[in-house]
Amino acid sequence: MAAFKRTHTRGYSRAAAKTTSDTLYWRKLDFPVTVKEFTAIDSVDISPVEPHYIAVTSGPKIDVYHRETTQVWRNITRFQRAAYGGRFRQDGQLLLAGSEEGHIKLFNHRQKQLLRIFKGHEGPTHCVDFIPGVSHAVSFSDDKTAVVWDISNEDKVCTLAGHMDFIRTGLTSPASQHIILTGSYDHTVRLWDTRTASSVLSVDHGAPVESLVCFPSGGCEVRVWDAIAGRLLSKLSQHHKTITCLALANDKKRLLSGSLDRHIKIYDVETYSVVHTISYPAPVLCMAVAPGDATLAVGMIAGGSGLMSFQHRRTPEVSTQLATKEANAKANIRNTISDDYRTLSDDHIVPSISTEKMAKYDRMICKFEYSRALDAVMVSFIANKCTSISVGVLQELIRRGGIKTAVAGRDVKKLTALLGFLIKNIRHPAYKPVLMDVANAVIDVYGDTLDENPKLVRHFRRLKEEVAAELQLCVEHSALMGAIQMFLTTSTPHTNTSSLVSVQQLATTECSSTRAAMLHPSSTATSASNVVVEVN
Amino acid sequence: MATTAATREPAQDVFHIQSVQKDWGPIVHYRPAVSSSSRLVATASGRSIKIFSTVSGKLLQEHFHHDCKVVGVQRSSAREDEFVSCDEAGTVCFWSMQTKEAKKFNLSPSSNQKSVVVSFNPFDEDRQLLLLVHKKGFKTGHLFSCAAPYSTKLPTLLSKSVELGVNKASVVVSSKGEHVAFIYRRGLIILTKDSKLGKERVRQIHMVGERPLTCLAFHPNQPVIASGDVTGRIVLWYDICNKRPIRKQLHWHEMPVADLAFSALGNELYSGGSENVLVKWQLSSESHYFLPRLGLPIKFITTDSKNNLVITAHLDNALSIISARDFKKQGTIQGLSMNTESKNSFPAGLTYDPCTRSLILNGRTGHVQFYDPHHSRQLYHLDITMSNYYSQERHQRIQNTEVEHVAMSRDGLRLATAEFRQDLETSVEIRLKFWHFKEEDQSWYLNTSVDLPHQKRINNITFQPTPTPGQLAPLCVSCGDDGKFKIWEEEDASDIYGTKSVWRSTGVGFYRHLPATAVRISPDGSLLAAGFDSILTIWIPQSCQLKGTLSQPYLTEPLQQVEFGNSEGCWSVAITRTHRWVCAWDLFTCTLSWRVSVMSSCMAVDPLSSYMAVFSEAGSVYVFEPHSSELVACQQGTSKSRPTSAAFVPRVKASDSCAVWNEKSSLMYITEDQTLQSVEVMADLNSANDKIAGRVRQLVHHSEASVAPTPFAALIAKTRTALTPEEKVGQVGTASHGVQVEKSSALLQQVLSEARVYHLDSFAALATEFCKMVIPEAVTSEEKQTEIEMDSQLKEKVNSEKKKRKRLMKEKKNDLKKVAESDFSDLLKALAL
Repeated sequence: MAAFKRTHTRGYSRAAAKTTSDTLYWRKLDFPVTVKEFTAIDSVDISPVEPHYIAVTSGPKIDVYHRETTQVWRNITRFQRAAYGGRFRQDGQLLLAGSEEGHIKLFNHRQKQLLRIFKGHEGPTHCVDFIPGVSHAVSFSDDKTAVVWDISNEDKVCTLAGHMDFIRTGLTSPASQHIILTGSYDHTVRLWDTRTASSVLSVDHGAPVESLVCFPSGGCEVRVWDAIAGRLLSKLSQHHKTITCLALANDKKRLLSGSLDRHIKIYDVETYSVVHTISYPAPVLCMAVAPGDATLAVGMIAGGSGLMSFQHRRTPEVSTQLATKEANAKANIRNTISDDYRTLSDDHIVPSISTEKMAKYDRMICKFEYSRALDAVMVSFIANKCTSISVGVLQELIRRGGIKTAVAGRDVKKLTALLGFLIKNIRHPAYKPVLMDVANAVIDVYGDTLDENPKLVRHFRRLKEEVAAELQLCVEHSALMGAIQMFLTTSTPHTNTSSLVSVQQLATTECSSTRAAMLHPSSTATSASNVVVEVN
Repeated sequence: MATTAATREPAQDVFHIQSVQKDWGPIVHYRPAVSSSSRLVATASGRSIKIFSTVSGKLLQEHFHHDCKVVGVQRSSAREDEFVSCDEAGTVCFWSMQTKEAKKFNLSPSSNQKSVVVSFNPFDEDRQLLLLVHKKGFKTGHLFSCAAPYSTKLPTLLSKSVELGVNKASVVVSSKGEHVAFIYRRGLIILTKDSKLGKERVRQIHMVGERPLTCLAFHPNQPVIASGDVTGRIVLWYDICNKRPIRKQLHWHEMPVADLAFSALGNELYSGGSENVLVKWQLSSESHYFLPRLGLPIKFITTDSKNNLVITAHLDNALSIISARDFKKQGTIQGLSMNTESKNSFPAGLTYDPCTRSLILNGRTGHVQFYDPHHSRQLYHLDITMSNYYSQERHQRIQNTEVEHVAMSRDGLRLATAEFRQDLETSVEIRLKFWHFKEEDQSWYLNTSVDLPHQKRINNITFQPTPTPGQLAPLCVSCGDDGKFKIWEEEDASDIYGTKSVWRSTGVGFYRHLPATAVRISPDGSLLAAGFDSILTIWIPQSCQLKGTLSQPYLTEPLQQVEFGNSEGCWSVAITRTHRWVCAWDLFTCTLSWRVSVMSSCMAVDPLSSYMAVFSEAGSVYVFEPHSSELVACQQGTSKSRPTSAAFVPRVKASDSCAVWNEKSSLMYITEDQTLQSVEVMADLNSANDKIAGRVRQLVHHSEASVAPTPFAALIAKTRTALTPEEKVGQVGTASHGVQVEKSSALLQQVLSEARVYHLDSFAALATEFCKMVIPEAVTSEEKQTEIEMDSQLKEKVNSEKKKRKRLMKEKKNDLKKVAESDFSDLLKALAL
């Protein structure tokens, strides 16, 4: 006995965006929890160790949030003016922040103690970082220098001077404790060696550098800048406004970029192609990703005040659901095999037969209940959201010769649903052949009793209008295709090969989807104009 | 033309081309019989009886006890392990599997040739038999009863009006033989043996009204009959001897019941029909169980004596073995899958698959099957349409989607299929699918499915034999009735999630809005030949540029097939086949090289050599090489029925064939009566001689020498001389086969100035080959239909070539004289040089 083959319903889904593993992954983020702040969010940092506190720097304070609850846990307000770039140490114990007056302050964020103040910068310090391995910190300031500090005695270890403009971003290389990267508004990114306090490498970026990330991949570093990048490995220009922040996610396999155009784009780091986009209600200023992508914290500016958004990953909940299911299954006494049970070699083991669950409409079709199968796919959710399923089932009914049986005997309510579906979708190029057949069947069945209900008459009239509009379009299209054909015939034999190919290719697309083309005037119109240009 | 061809007898005593059947033949025309051990099942198939194992599904034995078509095989009730079979002529055979000896009796009740036995029923211990004899032209059959010893007792006529029923099995006998029941127009007649009346049987008619019966089954140990009718109703008749028997109705079937069978103990009844569902009726408890989707419609149901198995015979030449205990399908015995009811069940023809060395044919509805002709077994079915089989309904015909065209790339890794469905009410469904073979798990995967690739029916699809450098895969071309051919190219669509590829249409070509009927790409992949109605057009496949058209005013039939020459020396020859003509066009000079009138039905090209074969409607086979109309081999009446498709299948092992053309690959074809045949050359001479003959032909084939050095040359000479008178009469084009040479050249457009199309070596070969085309009459009386714009250069070229040809002719004639005069050893020496 062969298994019942499912109704083929995926044939038309090519126009929709493709569902990839990435979209599925990033879609698992929860609905964001948003917290309003008084001023713009300057930076967000997530502690690298459990329980992953989130430091949000905004205005003259740093709020340390608890990740799970998304509540403010500590509030550090030891700043006279705006605080900048709050950052956790690699072990999550200490918090370092720059400030508008230029001082860099080191806190123990658990006790809210101010431990050290590093004084020496003449301008605001927008970015700070710890140097892993040694008790050093580095600060990047608007006075065009970066300074390495000794944490234990608040001394300057070395000063890195050479930039011509504000240094707004920088970091220490995870590969070596002696290498520091700075990005400046003088359009360059410099690589410094702290042992010699000199610039080792300088790359021209072509635009002010706002953010930097560094891959911990051996010694080879891949640098990606904002906006239109000065190319080293790849050029990313997916945003149409300034990119303000970068982050790495998904075990360093994905790069995130946040921009003032209110989107976060996620790239694959091997090909630098966009794999997913997340939209936000306000321009994105900063973001941080918790380890394991458990939380995506995004700081935004909305009308002068800040907006924090925390998105948690849904996976743990799903797994708990599964766990409860498993627990339930175990609790069921019929499924239990006691622990001391051993299968012997001569035991006959009966394999459990799992029957594949069939969709509702397939079950109906299997039982030849065509009318009910049609009802099942005319439910508003399927008809509106998964139109291809409805059309696939209609096609199946046509093939089985059961469309008239399915359509017949409907009351006004059910019939209006079907007519509404026809009216909505009959002009869709992929669905048109099937839906025209269905419309014919409906007219065949209900044509005689049409005038009994004014509501039906109204629907049929609308259907008629749709078809008339479609016909009109077809006529226009034939005219347009005729015009194109003229170009094609005049241009064929003696033109050079390249233009010929393009014209031929166009003809192909034209002809391969004649029906489709007839339905989308705008698309073909543009391609037609392309042709005109090419031919000329 | 075909009739004239049939009357002539070419020399057959030398070469004998025979057809060898390569499949099992239909095994489902008669009810199978299960052995008492339920390990074996016997089916009647043509003249033989085949024994299959029910466990492994393998063919174990084949018995040839009969001289004509076997109409049934049944287990003898008299002895264990004994079977009874009967053929059309009335010969009844009792045989058993172990001893292999058979007792034959001829029981034909009438010596009339027109009457044939259509079914028989053995009953009782003493070998009593019922024979149902059908006289041609009558609607009903005569029922005879025979009893042992057959030599002395004459068969007695029981009834003259037995309806034959759907399966020609409308007579049933109770196990002891007291009751005989058969279908009579609108009723059921039961003949009961009455002990008082002696020999005469009591006749009892039960009418069934407007629902004609289709099949009957007798309960194994009670006087109960089950009958099925055209409305799908099953009636159980209890107390049948009574005038008013008790009836019990069982109704589930919608279509006519095809067959009924009781289980061994009689407490269950199995029924089946074209719904593809086996229904088990539990007679005691009024419940019934289903086994749906068994394949194609059920024709017969058999049960065994131990209640282990139920065997259903299906329309697609398959037997399903169903375990009676858990009511599940255990296995299938599948021969060459075919639709035994339909006339043309192989619309896609034969395609060779180099990976599995098998043939691809249409299988079950919506599937293609891979059939290994070397071992006569089906390898697997590939589901193309991926939809359920829709069974017929009572009030409407339901059209299933059929696979109409199959094309396989030369490396065997890409498969293209075209499916078509038209019910004349709703819009047509045309789908072009591209399948990729994955070597890791050795299976086919659907890559691309194109809805409505053409607006009308697809006529042909083909792959480029060798891909152009830089291409991912060979191009595919499809052409359809909408007057277009489309070029499909596999494009790389890889992204970070994995490597992918997708087939896209990259070019389209049309010509004068004529339907595109045939399409083919040249072996080197540089030229595309497309037949638009009767006009052959040549294109560059990459850019879809029309390079030339070839036509002749009197060739008005649509082209059915286009093939390119396949080996050195015939790269530039395109062979076209219309219904009445086979023409060869020289693409280099754009002329018609030759044409031959033959009512053809299919043509095949050998992938390994230059030979081609054409089958005529009448079943004759002609083998030729593209550069000449001379026949390499021919045989009249090779097949009994019309061949529908043919293919050359490369041989697996070195052949013992004695003809050169048959050496590398064997020619297989499929006929209208759905048998797969292979053409084999039998010869009385040893093969060495023939090989020489084949080579000598190269030298001799232009001569009409009356003295032939070899038998083969003699054959050719004979056919030639036989044809000459007719040739003279039928200049207009009525020659039957072989050798009429068209003398006009057609050049409608300047074609093919690009030398890169051809390999240089092939170019050289072509030039010499061109010079070899020596036809004296053709040269002298050549009428050229030269177009005005044809440049004088070409004329000069032709003239010089004429001269060259004449010169060559003379040389060749001298050579031939030498050949004729010298004895054979000299020639061999010359050849060795």
